[in-house]
Amino acid sequence: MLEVRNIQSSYRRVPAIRDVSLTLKQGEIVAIVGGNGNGKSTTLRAIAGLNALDGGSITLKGQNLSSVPAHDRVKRGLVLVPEGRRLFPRLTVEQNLMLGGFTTNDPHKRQETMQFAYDTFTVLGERRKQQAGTLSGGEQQMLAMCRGLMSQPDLLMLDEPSWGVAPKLVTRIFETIQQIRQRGISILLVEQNIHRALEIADRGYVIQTGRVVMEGSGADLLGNDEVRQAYLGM
Amino acid sequence: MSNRTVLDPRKALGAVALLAFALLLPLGITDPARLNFFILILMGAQLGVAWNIVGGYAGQVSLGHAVFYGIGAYCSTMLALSLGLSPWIGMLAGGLLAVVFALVMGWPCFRLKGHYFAMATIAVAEIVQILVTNSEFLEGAVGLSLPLDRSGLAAMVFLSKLPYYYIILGLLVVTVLVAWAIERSHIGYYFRAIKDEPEAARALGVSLTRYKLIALSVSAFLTAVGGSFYAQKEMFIDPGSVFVGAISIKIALVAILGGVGTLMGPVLGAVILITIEEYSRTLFGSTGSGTDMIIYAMMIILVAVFSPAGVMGLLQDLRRHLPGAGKTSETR
Repeated sequence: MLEVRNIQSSYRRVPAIRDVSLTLKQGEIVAIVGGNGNGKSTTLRAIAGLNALDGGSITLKGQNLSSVPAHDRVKRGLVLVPEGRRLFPRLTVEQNLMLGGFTTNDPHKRQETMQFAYDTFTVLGERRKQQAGTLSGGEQQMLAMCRGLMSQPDLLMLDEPSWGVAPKLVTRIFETIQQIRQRGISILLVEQNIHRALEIADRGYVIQTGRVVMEGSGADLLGNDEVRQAYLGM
Repeated sequence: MSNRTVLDPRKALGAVALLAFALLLPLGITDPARLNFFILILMGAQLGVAWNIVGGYAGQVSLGHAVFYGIGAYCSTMLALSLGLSPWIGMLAGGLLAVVFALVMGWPCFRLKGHYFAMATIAVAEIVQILVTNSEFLEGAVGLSLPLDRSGLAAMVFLSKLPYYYIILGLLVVTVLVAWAIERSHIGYYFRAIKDEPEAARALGVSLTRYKLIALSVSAFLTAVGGSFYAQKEMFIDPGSVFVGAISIKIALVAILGGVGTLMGPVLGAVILITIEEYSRTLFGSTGSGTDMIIYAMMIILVAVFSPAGVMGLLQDLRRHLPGAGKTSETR
């Protein structure tokens, strides 16, 4: 469904990703792992269109996205839940969700997704009239994921969903990611929490200094000695 | 969209009461100078509400709104003078011209963010003021006068102040309704999203440039309409009265003082600001020319230090601290 071929991207001419290729099939969870500053987030941002490409190509459902601006890519079926959540803190929970859903014209689906959000995370339902900034870190992450879902994406990209979330809730978030996949939505996941990410991922890519250095099934990568030594300290 | 249709009956009642008060107010006033004072308040409020659409909701602070004001004033006046066109039509033409100008200036200016955008709008307004001052076609610094011989509704020229009062009240009501409709529609959500978290808005499918341009265009149109009204009321305009930076500052300050991003904040701001301005003028007379500028500066400092959310913010804080008002904090 998603095909990323040899993309490069840079910040003020300092290259952040030099050569990243990856594919993602319908209904898969794919994790991108690696240390800090190796280009994981930049890869997601480039796919979302927030960072310009210096080279390479991105195709979604057979369509080349190169000339599609970021805001139109959402209509094509991909959405990014950015790192640090980036909620609209002074709007209510419900207003945040609605903001995610204006790109779809189907009010019925919008309502259904909002209901899914409230059913999955009952706290969000209880606090729908509360300002988003008053939620805890974990609740904010849940809201950010649900806000992303509101655009009815085929591909949900999550940048560090466990960031700033209490350990107890991290488990909850990873469970939800699997639940979202059961709705037929493919997931591209960037995580520092490598162990957790590879556990739920069908496949994973290891990125180092802007390049994909290893790929394989989640289980394979978890069992790989190099990965274990480099990132898991085992 | 469950919360879209709900209309707070208390707010609706308040709005009706306020409108009734405004409609009946002139009945108790015989002194034209006093009535003129209320007209000035309504003019300030109309401009403040218009500015608030781009400066408040969308958070793109413009300090060059005089350019739209001037375009409105000059467009309707030129059309009346050269073609004998009714200022009612001239007003709409001025608004549309301002929209075109907003799109042309917004395209490059919106590449800048925050303070840099504000500085660019100052520069654009200054450039236009200088161009108009040196334009023979627009009579340069001499300015334009409307003839008194055609009075009446079609020419929007009246000997009494009363019709002006009701016209500007009508314009204010329309402007508030536009702001209200925006506030409740998805466009209003987008504006606030762009203001709070532009990056996240983009990731959710909001085209920043498009919606910033929409905000600026709507605001420019309404500001230009206010400019046309000014020209009709004063019957004389020159670059120094409609294109100057002081007007831009005043328009922005009305909204900032009252409360940015709130529907009625700019109206409140206009009441306070114009009252102070007019009293300082009568108090100090000609010796105090410039006192209003000193007062503007003081108010900017006071608002910035004590209540960045403006007077509306103060009122909301007050209400929160009153007993029995526990659940009022959810709306802004």
